[in-house]
Amino acid sequence: MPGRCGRANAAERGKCRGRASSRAGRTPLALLAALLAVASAAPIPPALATVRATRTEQRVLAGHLLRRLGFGPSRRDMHEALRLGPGAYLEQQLHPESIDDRLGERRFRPPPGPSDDGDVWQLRWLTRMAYSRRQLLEKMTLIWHEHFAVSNGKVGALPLMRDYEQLLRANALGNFRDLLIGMTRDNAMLIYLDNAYNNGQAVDELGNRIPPNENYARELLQLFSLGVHRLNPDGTLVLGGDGRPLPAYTEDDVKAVARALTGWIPHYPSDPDEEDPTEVIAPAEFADWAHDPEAKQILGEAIPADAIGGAFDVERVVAILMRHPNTAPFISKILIQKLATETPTPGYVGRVAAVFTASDGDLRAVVRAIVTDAEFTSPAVLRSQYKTPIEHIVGALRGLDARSGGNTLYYWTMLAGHLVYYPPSVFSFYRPGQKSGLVNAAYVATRDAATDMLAAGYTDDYFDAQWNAADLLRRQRLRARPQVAVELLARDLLAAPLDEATRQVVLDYLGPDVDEAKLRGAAWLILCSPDFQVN
Amino acid sequence: MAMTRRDLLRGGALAALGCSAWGGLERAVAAMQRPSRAAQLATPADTVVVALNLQGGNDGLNTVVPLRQYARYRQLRPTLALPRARLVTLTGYAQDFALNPGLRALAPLFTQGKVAVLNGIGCPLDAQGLFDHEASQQNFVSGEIYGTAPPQAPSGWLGRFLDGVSPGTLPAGIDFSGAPLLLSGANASPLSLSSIDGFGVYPSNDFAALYTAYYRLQSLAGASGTVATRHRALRQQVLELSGDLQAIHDAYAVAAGVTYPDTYTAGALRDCAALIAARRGVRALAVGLGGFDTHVDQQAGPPDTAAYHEALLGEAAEAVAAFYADLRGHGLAGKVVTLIFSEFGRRAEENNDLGTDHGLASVAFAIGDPVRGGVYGTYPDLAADALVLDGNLDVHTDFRAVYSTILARHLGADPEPILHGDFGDLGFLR
Repeated sequence: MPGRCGRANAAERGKCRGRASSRAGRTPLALLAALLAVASAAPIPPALATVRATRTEQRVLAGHLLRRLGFGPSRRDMHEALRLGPGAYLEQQLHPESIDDRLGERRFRPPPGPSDDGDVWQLRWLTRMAYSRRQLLEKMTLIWHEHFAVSNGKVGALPLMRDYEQLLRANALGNFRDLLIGMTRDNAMLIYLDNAYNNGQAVDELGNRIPPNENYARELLQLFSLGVHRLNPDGTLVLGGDGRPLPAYTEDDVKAVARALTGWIPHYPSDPDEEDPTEVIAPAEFADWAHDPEAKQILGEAIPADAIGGAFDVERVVAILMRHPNTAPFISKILIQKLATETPTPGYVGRVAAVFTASDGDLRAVVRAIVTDAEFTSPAVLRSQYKTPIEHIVGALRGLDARSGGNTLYYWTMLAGHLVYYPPSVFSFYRPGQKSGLVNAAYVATRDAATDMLAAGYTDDYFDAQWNAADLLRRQRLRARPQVAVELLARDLLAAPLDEATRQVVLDYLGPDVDEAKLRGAAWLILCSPDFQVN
Repeated sequence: MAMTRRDLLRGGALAALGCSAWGGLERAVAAMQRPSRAAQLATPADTVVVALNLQGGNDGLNTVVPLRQYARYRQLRPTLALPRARLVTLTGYAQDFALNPGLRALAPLFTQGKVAVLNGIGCPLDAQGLFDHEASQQNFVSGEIYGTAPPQAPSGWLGRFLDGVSPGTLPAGIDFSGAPLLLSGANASPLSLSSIDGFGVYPSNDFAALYTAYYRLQSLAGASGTVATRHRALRQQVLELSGDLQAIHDAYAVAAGVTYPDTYTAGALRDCAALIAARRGVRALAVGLGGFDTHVDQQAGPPDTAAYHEALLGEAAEAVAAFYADLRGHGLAGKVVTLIFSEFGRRAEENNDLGTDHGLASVAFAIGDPVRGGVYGTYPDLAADALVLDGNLDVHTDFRAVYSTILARHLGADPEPILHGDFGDLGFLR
C-alpha cells in the first residue's frame, strides 16, 4: 500500500519501514535521514566527507544496533552488520539458532569441572556477552535476569543459578508466558522469593490456617507482570476521579495468588558444603499436601476449589496475568527502556504493546517491533542512553578486541554493583528507566580505572584481559601515523568519528611518534571520553 | 594469592583493588591537585543530619518490644518473640519497653539521654503502595506521599533543605549507598561515594602525560546530550574533589579510645565523621544498610546465620555508638543528629517461614547531643481489633512529623515548604 507509506504518521512510517528493512535488508531512507542529523553533530573529516559519508553513516547505524541489540561493536560483528545491512542483521539476531557461533564459543570461559568453583558459570556468562555472535540472545538473557532478579547471595547454590540462567536464555526470545511459568517453578526463584516450602495447609495450634508467605506473589504482580498502577494500552496511568492513579491489584489479589502458588518444593545440590558445579539438579516438585486447594479469586477471575491438578494453578495464575490489560504495556515499556530509550513516547509503547497483545506475548515479535519502530533510530534516541556497567566494560573489551576468561569483567561489574547472579535485591541492579542511578562520581572513577587497566594491559590473578596493542600498531603501521591511529581507535570504540576538540587532545598526547605505550594511553583517553559513556 | 573471588565479594574489594591497582600513586596525585580552598573560607560551623536507612522494612515489633503487651506479643510471634531474659532494658521504661539484644550498644546512650525512641512511625493509611518497598522507600526518602507529590522532578526532603544552604567547599550532601534521592533537591545533588579513601583517577602508566591529557579532555566544554554532559560533569567533580577527600581521610584521627567495628556501616560512618570534622560545608549524609526484608528465618535460621535480624540491628547500633563517641571526642556531638529509619515495619503476626511479611508502623531513632532522650509517640496496640489493614500495627505518627521536628529544631529551616504542610514538632530535640 504505497499510499500509506507516504503519510506523515509516525506509526505508519514505522510499520512500512519495518517491512522494508526486513525484506530487503537495506538502509531505509528514514534511517538515513535520522542518521544525517546525528552525523552532522560529529564532524566528518573533510577528506572523507564526500567519498565515504555513506559508509560512515552506515557505521553509525550499525554501531547503534550493535550497542542496543548487544554489547557494542567488535570488529567482526561490525563487519557482519555492515555486510548484511540493519534489517537482515536484526532478523539474523532474532533467530540465534541460525547463527554459527563456533568461533565465539571457542573464546567462552570453559564450563567448570566437578571440583572447580561454581562461580566459573558467571565467568562463562560474561564471556558469552563478550564473544558470542548471538549478541541479542545474550542481551535479552541479561535483560530477563535484571527483570526476574534472583541473587545467589540468598540462594547460595551456584548450580541452581546456572539452571536459572539457562532457563532465561532458553526463553529469552520465546514467549513471555513461558518465562513467567518457568520462573515461578524455578528452584532458584522459589528459594529467592520464599515460595519454596510455602505450605498452603499449615495450621496453628488452634487449627486456624496460617497464611502463606506472600513475597513471590507480590513481586510476581508488582514487578514481573502488572506493575503497581493500572495502565492504558499505551503505558500511561489510568487516573481515578480524584486525579490519582488506581491500583492494578489489591492486597486480596496478592493473598489469593500466594495461596494458588503454594506447594512447591525445590531441589538443592546434594552436598552444600562441597558443591559440584556440574551436578544435575532435578526440577522443583509439587506437593499436593502443601497446596491450598480452596477457591481463589484473582483479579476478578475465579480458580475453583479443588481445581484439577493443583500444580496447574501456576498456569492458571499466569493465564490470568497474560490476559490482564496491564501486562502488554508494562512489559513492552520495560523492554523499550532496556533496548531503546528510557523515556519512550506513549505512542511507541502503544505500538509495541499492540504487538505484544496480538502475538500473545511473542518476544521475538515484540523485539522486532521495538527495533523497527521509527523512534528506535530517531535522533533523540541515538547515542542518548546511559551505558550500564556491564555494557561499559564488555563494550570496552569488544571494542579493543581484548581477550579475557571473564575475570576482568567479573571484578569491574562487581565493583559497580552489576555482577550477574548478585542483584542487590528483588528491585534488581536498577529500576527500569533509572539507569542514571547507576552512575555517580565514585562509579565514574571506578569506570575509568577499569578501562585504565584494560588499556594499559595490567594483568594479575584478578585481571586477565589482554589487549594486543603491539599487534595493532604493527599491522596497521601506526608508528608514524598518529592521525590514523586516532581514527582507527575511534572507529573501533565509538563506531563514529571523534569530535574535533577531543581528537586534538588525544593527538597532542600521542605526539608525532606512536609507540605501544602511547597507543594504549590514547585508547584509554577515548574510553574515558563522554562519547564512550553513552549507548 | 590468598584472596579468592568470593572473599572479594564478601567485602574488602575496594581495599584489595587499592593495593593491587592504584598503590603508591595517591600521594603523587594529591600533590598535583588544586590547592584546597578550605583555608580561604570562613568555617561554616553548622548542624548536620546523618540518616541511616535500614532498607527492606525493619521489624519494629522485634526492635522495640512492648512489655505491657508481652503475652499478646508471644501469641502473635510464637517462634520469633524475643525471650524476656534476652531483652535490653531501657532505663526509666523498665515496665514499658525493651530493646532487641542487637541494640545493646544504644542502651548506655539511652541512659545518658542521647537517644529518642520514636514509636508508631509510618505513612498515613490511605497512602498508596503502603506494603511496597519501592513506594514506601520513596515516601520516606522524599518526605512526600507516593503519587501525590507536586509535579516536579523527584527530590528528597533533605535535598530540598540543602537547596537553601550556603555552599561550602564540598558538596553539602554526601551519600554512602543510603539513597541519593534523599539528598537531591531542585539544585542540590549529592556526591555518592563508597569511601573517601582512594577516590580519584590515577592512570597506571605514563602518569603525568596521561593525567594531564585526561584533565584537558574532561575540562572541554560541551558534550552532546544530557548523558554525555553528566558524565563529563561527574569527572570534573572527581578531579576537583579527589585530592581533597584523600587529604581529609589521611588527616583524620578517630577520637582516643574509640574503635569502629569492621563493617561497611561503621566504615561509612567513620568517613562521615571525618567529613563533618573537616568543616567544609557538609550538612547531610546518608548511609544505607540493607537486608531488613526478613520474610524468612528472621531470628533463628541455620547456625551460621543465627539471629539474622539481631545481627543487622547490631551492625547499625555498634556503628552508630562508635560514631557518637567519635563525634563527642571531637567536640562535634552537639552538631549532629543521627536518624535511623526504615520504610515500613512488618506484619504483627509471623508467617510460616519463621519470618515476617511487609507491614505498616515501625520505629525510628534519633541519636545525638541535640536529642532529648526518651520514648516518644504511641506504641501501636497489639490487640486483634486494634490492628489495621488486615493484621498490621497502626500508624500513630506521620513520618513527616519526624522530619518536621528535625528541620525546625536542628537545621533551622521552615519545614512547611519542604514538606508541603505542617506536621508539628514531636519534641524529641532540644
